[in-house]
Amino acid sequence: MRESDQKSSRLMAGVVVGGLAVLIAALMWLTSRPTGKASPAPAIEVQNSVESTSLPAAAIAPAAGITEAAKKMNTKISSEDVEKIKVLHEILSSKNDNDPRLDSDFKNLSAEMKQALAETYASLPRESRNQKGTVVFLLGRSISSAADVSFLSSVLSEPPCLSLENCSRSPNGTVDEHASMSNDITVVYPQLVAVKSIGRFLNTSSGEDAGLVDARKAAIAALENAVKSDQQRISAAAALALQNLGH
Amino acid sequence: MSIQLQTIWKTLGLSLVAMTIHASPALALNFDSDVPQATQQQITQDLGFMASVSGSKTSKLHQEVFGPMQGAGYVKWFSDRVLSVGYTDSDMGGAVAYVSPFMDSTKMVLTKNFTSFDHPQIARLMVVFHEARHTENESGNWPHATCPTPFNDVQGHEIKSIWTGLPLAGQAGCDEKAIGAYGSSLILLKNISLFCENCNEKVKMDAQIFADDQLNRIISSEAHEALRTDLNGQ
Repeated sequence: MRESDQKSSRLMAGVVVGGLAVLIAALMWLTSRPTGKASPAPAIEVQNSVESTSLPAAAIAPAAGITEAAKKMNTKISSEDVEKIKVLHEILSSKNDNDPRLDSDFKNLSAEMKQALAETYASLPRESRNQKGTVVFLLGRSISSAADVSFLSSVLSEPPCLSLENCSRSPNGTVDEHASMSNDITVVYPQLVAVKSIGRFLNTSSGEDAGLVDARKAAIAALENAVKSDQQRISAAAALALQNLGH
Repeated sequence: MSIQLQTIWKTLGLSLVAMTIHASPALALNFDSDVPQATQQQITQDLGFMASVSGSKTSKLHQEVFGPMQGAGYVKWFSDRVLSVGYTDSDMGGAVAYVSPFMDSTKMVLTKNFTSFDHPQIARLMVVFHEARHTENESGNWPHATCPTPFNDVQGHEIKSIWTGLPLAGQAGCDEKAIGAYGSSLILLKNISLFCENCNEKVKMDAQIFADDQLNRIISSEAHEALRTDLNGQ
């Protein structure tokens, strides 16, 4: 290849690489700039016609149905939160639990978002133990009131899930205790997450914070009730959490 | 608009990470022809997560069994032991995966439950790493011990099967060694919960929940103490 050809090839490569860099930088700038308050996200007015527990099963699918399901929620949420609910369903159905968006997008939840997540929880089939537990995790990480604890208490008082295949009946056939080792935990996974979350809240919040007095009282009561659970693993986990708190 | 662009941007980023992981030749598993595509994708994704795990510190027992906390090391550990992956659509007593050392000690069989049950990802990984330990012929495949009678948890409650309600006492669902199948998966999970630097908070909490339960299965006081010392010493 002649020297002039080599030069023009290098020039072309430089132009392509430079162009890509500019494109990426522009995209990053566009997506990272604050939205500001000039154009507030429109809230979705929700019809009160659907009970949260009767949201369509399609709500678990990461598709167009998500937005529709969100619209049917009893809670008024912003379009940004609708997008977040959509992202959550994408994550849940991907079965990739280490999605970094669980940390980056789901902290400092608004009261409306918490309500929307609670409705999402109710819409999921009982057998979706990991999906339900993930929602409990998100809400349990953001406890700031007695109402937040109340949701976790309701999770702890759910009737037992009898099998991963069908929560309303015991498994068919013989159970191999060695082979099914993880099932014992997964079947009570949402409840164990609730206990962990309450324990962590009590450990990390200050008893002198006047704004959290009611929440802390409710949290301790929730653990004390969970100790009385007929489900051994829930009872044991709650007892351990209280023990770690010095109760 | 902005959040949509952010979503696209993040999705692009995640896709690139996923492409990088799936492009890794170390992850090539040898599947039997009857393993459903969804099952293949699930275990490949799960091991893809393990391939991404990174941390600058581990416990001593983790170092002994798995080496440093590096994704490539975990994948090599697994693929050195599991040379082929089969499938059964049987329930197999609720199992999601198993190894039959006397049939083919290098084959792991995944059941329909691997994808049909909604386990946390860390639970699926705990099982497949536990089962991979059973491939080790040189260690007698790390056989399990019979759970003692009575078999109680730390609060003194009798440990029962959540399925049958019957005590686990007398069943072959325990270990006497600290680094057997239960112990090694416990060590793996506990280290992830403590030291993984690129795991999100849910994964770290899951690893702690499942690891803590596994400790109940270690019945020899020496092994129990070795594990407690190893993990508490960090």
